[in-house]
Amino acid sequence: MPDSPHQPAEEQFQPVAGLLAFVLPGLGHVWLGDTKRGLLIAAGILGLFFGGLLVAGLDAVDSGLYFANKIRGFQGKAPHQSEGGDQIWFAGQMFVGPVAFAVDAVHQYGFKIREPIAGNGAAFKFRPPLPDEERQGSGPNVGMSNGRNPGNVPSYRRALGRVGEIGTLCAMIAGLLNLIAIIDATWHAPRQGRGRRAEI
Amino acid sequence: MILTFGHRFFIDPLDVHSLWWLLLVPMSILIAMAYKAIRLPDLSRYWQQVASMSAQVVLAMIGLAAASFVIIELFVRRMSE
Repeated sequence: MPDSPHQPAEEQFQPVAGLLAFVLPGLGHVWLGDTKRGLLIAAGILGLFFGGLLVAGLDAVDSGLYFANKIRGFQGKAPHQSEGGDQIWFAGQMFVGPVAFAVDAVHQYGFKIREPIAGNGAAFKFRPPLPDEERQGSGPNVGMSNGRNPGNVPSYRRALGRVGEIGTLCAMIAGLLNLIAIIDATWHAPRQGRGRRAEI
Repeated sequence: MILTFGHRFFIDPLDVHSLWWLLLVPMSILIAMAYKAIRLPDLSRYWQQVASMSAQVVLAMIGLAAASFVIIELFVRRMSE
């Protein structure tokens, strides 16, 4: 605790709070005992992220499997490749935490068209469906294209123009704001008289 | 703006291409909510601060749009003539 209200409180290193803030926006501050602040952070960040999804649809979050393949050490001939990704945007969006990775995984594996890569064994490429292309929902070839017909409904539609830009931007700003929240929770300066752990 | 009965929310994009600029208002409010929740030392005047920051962001964007309009439509056009 500071000696006077004007003296800034000393920062404390709280790695668990930082980890929790990454797991779910606002959870780090809730763990530090600042429940109201944590809930407001969660409302703002998750509101932005899901607001972006509402506006631009699933296309707002698309890693193109870039980071998954990088982490797994694949160069060029990764068994799962993806087209149409927005890797740079996802680099910001991923700081929303597991929610962003879950949405991206659902997008890649649950909605994109799965195509075998010629000459690369059991490798698959995932790509967005064309406007009149249907995706097989069940059976051994689940995820593969059912062909193109004028009446077909694609598994999802791509976001174009300003609507796509704003949705993707909202989801990315949510990630960058959560990065600030993660840093704030990890190097926590207790606010005076607030929080169960504020005076630890 | 067309929202058909079969629209799949959170999967398909909204058809709000003619009103896209209105989306900047809720975006500004949500950004201010998260930012002020992190930065304010005391949350007693939280909503006033959120309203103030949202208004500043929206006004700044309107100002930038007006400045861009003046530069492109008047200044650059006059230079090219």
